[in-house]
Amino acid sequence: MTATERQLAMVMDLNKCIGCQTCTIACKRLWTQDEGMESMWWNTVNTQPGRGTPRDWEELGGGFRDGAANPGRIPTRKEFGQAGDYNHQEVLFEGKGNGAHLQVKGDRPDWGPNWDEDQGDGEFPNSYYFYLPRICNHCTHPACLEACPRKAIEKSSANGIVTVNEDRCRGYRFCMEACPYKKIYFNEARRVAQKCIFCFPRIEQGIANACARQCPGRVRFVGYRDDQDAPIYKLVDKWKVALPLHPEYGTQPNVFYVPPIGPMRFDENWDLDPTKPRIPNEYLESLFGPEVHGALAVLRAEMEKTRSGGESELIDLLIAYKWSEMFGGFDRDPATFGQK
Amino acid sequence: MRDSRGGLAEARSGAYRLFAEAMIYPDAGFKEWVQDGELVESLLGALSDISPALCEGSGSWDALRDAGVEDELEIEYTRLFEAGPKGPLCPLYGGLYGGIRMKVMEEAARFYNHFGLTLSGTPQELSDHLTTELEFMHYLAYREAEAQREGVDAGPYRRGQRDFIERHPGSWIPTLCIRLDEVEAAPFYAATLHGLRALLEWDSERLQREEPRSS
Amino acid sequence: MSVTRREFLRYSGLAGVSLSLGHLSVTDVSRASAQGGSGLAPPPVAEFTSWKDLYRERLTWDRVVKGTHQVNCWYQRGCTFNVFVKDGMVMREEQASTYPQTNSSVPDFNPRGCQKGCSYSDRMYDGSRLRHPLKRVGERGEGKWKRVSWEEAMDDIADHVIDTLRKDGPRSVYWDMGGGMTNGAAMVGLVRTIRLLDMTVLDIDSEVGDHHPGAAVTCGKITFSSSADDLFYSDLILIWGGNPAYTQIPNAHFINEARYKGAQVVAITPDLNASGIHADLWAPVNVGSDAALGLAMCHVIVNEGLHDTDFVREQTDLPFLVDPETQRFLRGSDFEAGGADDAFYFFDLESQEIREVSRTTLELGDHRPALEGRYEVETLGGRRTVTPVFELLRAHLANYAPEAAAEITGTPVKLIRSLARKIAKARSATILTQSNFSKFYHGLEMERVQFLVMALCGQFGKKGSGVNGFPMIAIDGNFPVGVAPPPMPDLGPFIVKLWKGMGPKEDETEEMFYLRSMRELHESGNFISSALLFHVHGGLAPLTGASRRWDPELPRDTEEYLAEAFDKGWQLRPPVPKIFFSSGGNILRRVRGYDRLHEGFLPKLDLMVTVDWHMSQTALHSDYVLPAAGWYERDDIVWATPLAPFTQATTKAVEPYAGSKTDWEIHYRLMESIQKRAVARKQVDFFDHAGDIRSLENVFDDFSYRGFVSADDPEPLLKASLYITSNLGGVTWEELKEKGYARHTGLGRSPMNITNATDIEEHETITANTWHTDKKIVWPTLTRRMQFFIDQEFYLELGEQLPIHKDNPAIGGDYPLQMTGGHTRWSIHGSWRDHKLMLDLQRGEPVMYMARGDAAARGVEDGERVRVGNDLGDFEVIVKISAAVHPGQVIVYHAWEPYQFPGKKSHQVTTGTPFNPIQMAGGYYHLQQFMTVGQPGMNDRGTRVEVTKLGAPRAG
Repeated sequence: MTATERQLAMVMDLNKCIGCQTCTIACKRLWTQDEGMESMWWNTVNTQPGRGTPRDWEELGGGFRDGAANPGRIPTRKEFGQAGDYNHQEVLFEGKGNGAHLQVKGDRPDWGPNWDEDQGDGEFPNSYYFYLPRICNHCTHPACLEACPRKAIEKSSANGIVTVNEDRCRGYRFCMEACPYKKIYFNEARRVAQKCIFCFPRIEQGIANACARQCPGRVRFVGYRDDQDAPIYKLVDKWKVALPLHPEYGTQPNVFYVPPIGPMRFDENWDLDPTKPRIPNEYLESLFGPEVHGALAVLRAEMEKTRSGGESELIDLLIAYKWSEMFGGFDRDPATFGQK
Repeated sequence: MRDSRGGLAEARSGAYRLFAEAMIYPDAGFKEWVQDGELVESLLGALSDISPALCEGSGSWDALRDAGVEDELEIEYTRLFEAGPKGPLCPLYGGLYGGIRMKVMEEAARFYNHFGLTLSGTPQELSDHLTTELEFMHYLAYREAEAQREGVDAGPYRRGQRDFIERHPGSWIPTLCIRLDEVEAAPFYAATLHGLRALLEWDSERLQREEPRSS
Repeated sequence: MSVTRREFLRYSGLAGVSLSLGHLSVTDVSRASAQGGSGLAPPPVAEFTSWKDLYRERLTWDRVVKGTHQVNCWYQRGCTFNVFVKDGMVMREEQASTYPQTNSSVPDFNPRGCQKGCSYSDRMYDGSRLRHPLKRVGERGEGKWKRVSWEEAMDDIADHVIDTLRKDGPRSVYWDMGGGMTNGAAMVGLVRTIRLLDMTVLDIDSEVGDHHPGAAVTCGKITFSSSADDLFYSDLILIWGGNPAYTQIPNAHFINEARYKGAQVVAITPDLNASGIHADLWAPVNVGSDAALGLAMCHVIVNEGLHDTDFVREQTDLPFLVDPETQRFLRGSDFEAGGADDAFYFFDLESQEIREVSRTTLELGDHRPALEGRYEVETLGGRRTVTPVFELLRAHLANYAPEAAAEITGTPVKLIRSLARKIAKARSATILTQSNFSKFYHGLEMERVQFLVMALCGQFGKKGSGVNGFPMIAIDGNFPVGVAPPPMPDLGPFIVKLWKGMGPKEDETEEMFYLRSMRELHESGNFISSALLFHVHGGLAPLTGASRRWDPELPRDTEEYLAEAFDKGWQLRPPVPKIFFSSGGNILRRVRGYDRLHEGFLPKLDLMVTVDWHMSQTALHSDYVLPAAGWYERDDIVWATPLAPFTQATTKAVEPYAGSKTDWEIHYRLMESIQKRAVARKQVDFFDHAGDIRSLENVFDDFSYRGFVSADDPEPLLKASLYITSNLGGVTWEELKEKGYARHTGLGRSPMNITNATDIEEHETITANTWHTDKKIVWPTLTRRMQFFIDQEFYLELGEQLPIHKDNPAIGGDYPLQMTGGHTRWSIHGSWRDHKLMLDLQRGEPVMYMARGDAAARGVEDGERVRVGNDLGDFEVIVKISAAVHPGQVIVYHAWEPYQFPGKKSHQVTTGTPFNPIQMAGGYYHLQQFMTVGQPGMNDRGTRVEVTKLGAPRAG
């Protein structure tokens, strides 16, 4: 376990994520358009239930089990979803007429960072899906850090951000085996591992992460876990409605989720069935652990309060009337910093 | 035939300038210049002062005095370099040949800025356009020649040319040439760009040898 | 190439080489000379102190300016971005996020901007950007071009224009502004060009399918909407006919937050779409059966006495007396020869007599109009029994008992009843609808029913209530600048003159005055429906005119209805097209049945000019392609909607790319050439549409306000527009540029704004239509009420005088699957549709969503390419299987470019898009074609198709 003085964290409210992928693009445009990063998407948003990105990542192992390292493997390029190189010129200019249409050159990909968008699971009329944004969890007990023989992965004691020291990294990729969330990527051109940096250059300047600040859904809270005046602490520790993803992986992630409540389902007679939620509790438990039931109960109770015209601190937090208050003090305007 | 180092830099400056000019849009004045043989003669003159090997294959150089009939050359230029539904067949922007375009543009601009230059012209061309990059080579070689004449250290200019060729035109012109062949470019452009490629290759090899990297 | 230049370039071994720079210039002398530069370090290829600095470096820039994107994202529009510029290039953009919180009881508007806007800087340097004007060589569409100078291009285009003006008349020159309309310089350029040359602008609203026909015939207007934060006052939000999670990305959070606050969110859609997943309730409804659903709700509401009688009496025509035999309103003309055809009557329960309804106020005073009963009245035609519309409605609703409706809608009976009661009992209910229903053949009725449901329950005018129309709000100073005669500085007196003597006539409201002005302007014929243009002159008639083929109940052929509409002046006949300017549009992708335009439309044109930034499908088939400057390469003002009532500025972050020009400059250069060429040719005169002679001798001088505005600096226009704008709080161009946006302070003097019919307060959310509900100002319809009974002859012929459900015809043939669509989250029409970053987050090519059972029955697997077809054609597409899709439904989201499909055949080769003649109706005060409304629309929703595996024989 790595001791830190303070730990930055994020909470994502899955009742507000509309799957627009603005966070994905924000991160991509800012950080991962350099050489060797073409297929990297440090931030992903996947439709759940779904196989996720990389494909079937939840079955690839890593993390810890019973306190010891759990074996895992590195996702293949195809599982990550190689970025396509399209054949625009062939289609539109090489006079092949209608014989060629726009598609990916070479092998058609069979996976991508958002392949199963809006498909979900269940049976009509009780199908269900929601969106799950993911970044590196900047874990308190990072499996990647422990796995690296060169100690090329560092966890800041000032704020808990976990980074790959790209100068020390020699590209062994044990970290990629070890991370159970499969949020570490490999830069084939530079032969180093790379991953979400929690926008540390922005954080250093008091500016919230791009994925959080650019999210039009107002899904993400940012802040120090111990800041009792800020939303993170209240959602995670006080109200306990924000939960880690796959807590059983043992890495103590610092990204938390408010679980989704979908529309009411129908019974066999096409009557509304308030007894069972549309998104099966078992499914949410498989993602967030048994604590999810308590979290949902609290959330429903508070929503019931406001439905009846009452007040709720929790609901006010989740509504976030003033957007800048979602960022735990990291509310500086990025336009005010950086002029050469 | 020049035998001073200043002469070599000067010849190179002239050659890059001529190659840049050969790649402008072929209007009537341009075609006359070509048909009168002035392009090919000046270019061969400069290349022979650089290295006679670069003048070999005189057959293909003849293409550089043929501006075609009517607006054949304009149409070919547009077909190759200017337009198509998803962009031209062989764009003249280095950033479109691999890597992230904006990174390439940014880096080229930084090269120019470092040597006291900024983009200009109306309309302004982008930093990774072939003519801009060739103008920059023309400029650096010119300064190199000037430095040598005045007995000042020409090293920065040589190292600048070494790195710039390697990271910019030297890296994408060969790919452009492959594409030109694939789309059966007219001889005028095939000869010009293959000639440019040969010069860049020669120049790059010489610069790497004469100005080796320290680390 | 000049002689001196040739000398300069000449290489001889003897003379020195000269330095010759064109694309670079020396600006830092200290670094420029060898002597000054001694000891210069080599350029920093990779010199960083640590890997962290590489990342930190990404946050440095030279300047930041405000920018936005001039696309037609409509309901979700309005996003001010910070645009970061370094080394003369745009590095990235990020939402500025400085929007205000309207008041402390609603969430604020931040951040605004979506994944598309956040990647525009990636698009602007795309290799496909056009650099210089191109002229076609070879056949249209062949793809052979040569570069020409702007002057050459403009002079040649000018010659063509002059020829057409003189030979065919100015109306044969058409402009399609597509999504490119701004509220600043580009708009002024277009307005002046059109007006000075009396040319035609395409009205594409109904062709695109955004014309809200039901709103138009019920409310007399379509552009009205509340603000997105007004939703926070709703306790019931019905998402019905739209998908805000996809197409209102920056507004959607208000819905989710309202849900937290206690609103019940109900999604009514065939499939469980992205907007439904965060609803409290999702009500499935069969494709195209929404009118039946709504009428069933009305049945419940009326039968259980849940309707808001006060509202109904005051705001609607439901108390108006009708003769059930003739199915016509009782009118003044029934009482005396030459009596008013728009005088209507009600039975007053207080005074127990038939009285004329007020044309000037909705205030009832002591009167209490009956909703029931039968009343005897003496008319010119003898004694008649009349009854309130409400009685006819009640009888009509008997056909829509929930049990019967459930057969049509597939929505459970209990749910129908429950929804109806919820709407009636809600404190404040909103129907959040967009333009989906406008794209159904019977969309007019589907929309009318939505208004009926809400009107019966009094759900208008209260905060958090209503049905939104097609939202728009803009500065009112731009149009006057566009039409002002030179010289510009005399704007003040011009404005006074413009509005002097203009104003509501007696018994006409302000709103009705503006609408009348628009109608009168429309009559001059400068706006022509693009759907009708393509029907009459574009070769689309076999599709758009084939209504009876799919709808055999239709009494007459489409052509008959259309001929009648043309003859009676209900619809304007499109002039023969000779020149087509596509400037911000892309008809060869956009138009349903676009493939027919190749043979049916293009050959008719003497000249086709496209202004665009890349070689779109339409550009490919043009004679000239003119490169347009990008959105960060110009200064302009962009309009807004009440949903986010902030007008935005976009400012010039960098120079136009290569040889591209802004729209303003393109108009400028064209007019310049037209004047020059007309004078040179000594052919300065032409006849305008009214037969008056106009001269081209000074047309450019007039255009440019006698030199007051130059080609490359439209700021005087922007300053002037804001100077005379009355509804943006007096904000100047400097202030707008600096902040990026400003909130509207009122509706101002504008026909598009006025129809919101509400006041705007700084710290209040905007609630539409309060002028009617609170101030009792009459609605701009024939009856001066929300009108649910329409006795126009087409309506009577088609049995649609009351809102009704009609089955969606089997357009495309007798096939079992209904193809629906919608706008995708991944593009704004064609913009971004083929952008790599977007495609990488999808499957890279067009997809079709299909229900599990339907796929299994056909042996189709996820990711498989299938053929989709009907009697009109077929296309190939990849399938995505989802249990969220309604059985019998397949979904292809819109705007895929044809070249993204095999054989370059998009799904729009199967869409039959027959006109519904009811949308041609006119001559009925508010049922009359004018800008954006009252025209027959193109429709595609619910087209019938079958899906077959590739290689299998085609079914049917």
